[in-house]
Amino acid sequence: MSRPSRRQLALAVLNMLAERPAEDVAHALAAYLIAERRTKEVDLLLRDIEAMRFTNDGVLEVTATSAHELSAGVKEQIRGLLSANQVTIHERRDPHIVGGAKIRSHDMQLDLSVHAKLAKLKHLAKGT
Amino acid sequence: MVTVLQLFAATEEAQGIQALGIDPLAILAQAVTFLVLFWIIKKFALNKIVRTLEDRRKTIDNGVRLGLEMEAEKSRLDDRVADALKKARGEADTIIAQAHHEAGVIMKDAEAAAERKTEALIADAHAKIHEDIKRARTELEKEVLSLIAEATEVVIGEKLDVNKNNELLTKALAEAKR
Repeated sequence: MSRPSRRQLALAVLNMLAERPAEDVAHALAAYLIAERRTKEVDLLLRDIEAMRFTNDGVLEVTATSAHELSAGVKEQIRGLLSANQVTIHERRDPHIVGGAKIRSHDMQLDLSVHAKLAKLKHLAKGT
Repeated sequence: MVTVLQLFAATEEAQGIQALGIDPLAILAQAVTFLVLFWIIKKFALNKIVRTLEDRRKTIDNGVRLGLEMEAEKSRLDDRVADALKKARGEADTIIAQAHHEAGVIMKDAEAAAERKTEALIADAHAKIHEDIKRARTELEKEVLSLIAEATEVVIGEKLDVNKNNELLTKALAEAKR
């Protein structure tokens, strides 16, 4: 029996999520990936799942990484920026960001961090 | 003694030319003998001797003539050698003068080439120095800019709190929406 593709796996996970709790599905998926030695694909698989959820249900999973907690107003602004029926924002803390935030979904990335801007400045300085 | 004197006295005394002790017959006989002897010598030896002497004379004359000719030839050869030497010396002088001239031209050309090369090297060195200065200045600017960026990162990290971060993000998102 041939190994299922990443897309097939994503579809299976989505089907399982409709019937079973997310925690159980996550455990089952983790066990499968370890058993099949496909743990390296986990990021791409999650991205595929997010993309399918967005395509099928209009639900957009967004990860916002920042050094400080985001206010409700900022979250609303982020939602307004994205065209989706429902936007779920997952917050992450990273002091290296310094200021601003890095917003990422399955198909786009918006880096509004101070760290990125300074890195760009440094890169331009090195390039001159 | 008396006997000898008597004997002289008994001898007949000679007359005329015979008194001088000259005998014409003897002289005639001697002349004939001489002529016969001369004829014999001339017949059998004198011609050969004269011929031999003549040959020797000719040989000597030829030798002298050849010697004179050789001397004249030697003189001419000396003149020719002297002319050739003079000509060769003249040509050598011309060649040496030409060589001196060419050497001078070559030296001048070499000096000019060396001067041009030196000037080019100096110009290259100047250009390289300018380039190095420019590069060093650029590197310094980069370093300064990098330090400013790092310092800015530290200062912002210390100064930025939750509220200020949200204000910053609100502005940034508004700009992104535009």
